[in-house]
Amino acid sequence: MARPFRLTRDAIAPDAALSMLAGAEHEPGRDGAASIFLGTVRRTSGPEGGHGRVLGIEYEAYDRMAGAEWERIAAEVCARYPTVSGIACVHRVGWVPIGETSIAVAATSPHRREAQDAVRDAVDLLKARLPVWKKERYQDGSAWISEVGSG
Amino acid sequence: MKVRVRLFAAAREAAGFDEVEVDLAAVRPTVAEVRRALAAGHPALGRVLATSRMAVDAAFAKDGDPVPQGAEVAVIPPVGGG
Repeated sequence: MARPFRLTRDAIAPDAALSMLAGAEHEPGRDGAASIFLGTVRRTSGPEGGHGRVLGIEYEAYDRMAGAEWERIAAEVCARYPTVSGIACVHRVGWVPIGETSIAVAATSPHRREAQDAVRDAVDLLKARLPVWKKERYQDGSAWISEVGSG
Repeated sequence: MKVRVRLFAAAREAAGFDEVEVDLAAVRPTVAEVRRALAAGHPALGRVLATSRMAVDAAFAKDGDPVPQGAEVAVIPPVGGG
């Protein structure tokens, strides 16, 4: 099962992750469904925007481990949904202004349920485990933001 | 045994370096011993360490796991990917 991964400093096109799965199907026309998740940098952060207006986000990655951890996450997801042909992730690093895409995750499968569930699960898992960090920049400061509690 | 530890994000900012070295008395140290040595040698890291996971050779490690000679250890503060 294909599990491509890429870190990039460049803008991420909507089909960036999906295009990495070209040829992942066991035979052409096997997969009737493709599911794509795109994460975008938001204008506000914190509960009800309590952190104030976000100018953009600086993403940092532990390059060597990001690919390895995606491999583990994708393997778990593929084991859970064996009809999925492949699942791909492209994550941006460096400065990402508001409104731009920070992450794309895509999966394909014969029918829609598995592709949609696989993408959802992969996003949940990578938000908890991928060694990538986000530093939000505000008008008057910055802060490391995590949805994860203590390690 | 000397252990090279990579620091990321808030850990790097707290220590002021992206990599530090700790010298451990044990021949076969555990991840927990590396944590303690980091906190002792770099007190500014204390708070971040308390909420960070550790990685050994690019995989999350538990405190009881061994640290092989030459392994790449890293402090992984709370992540924010996606």
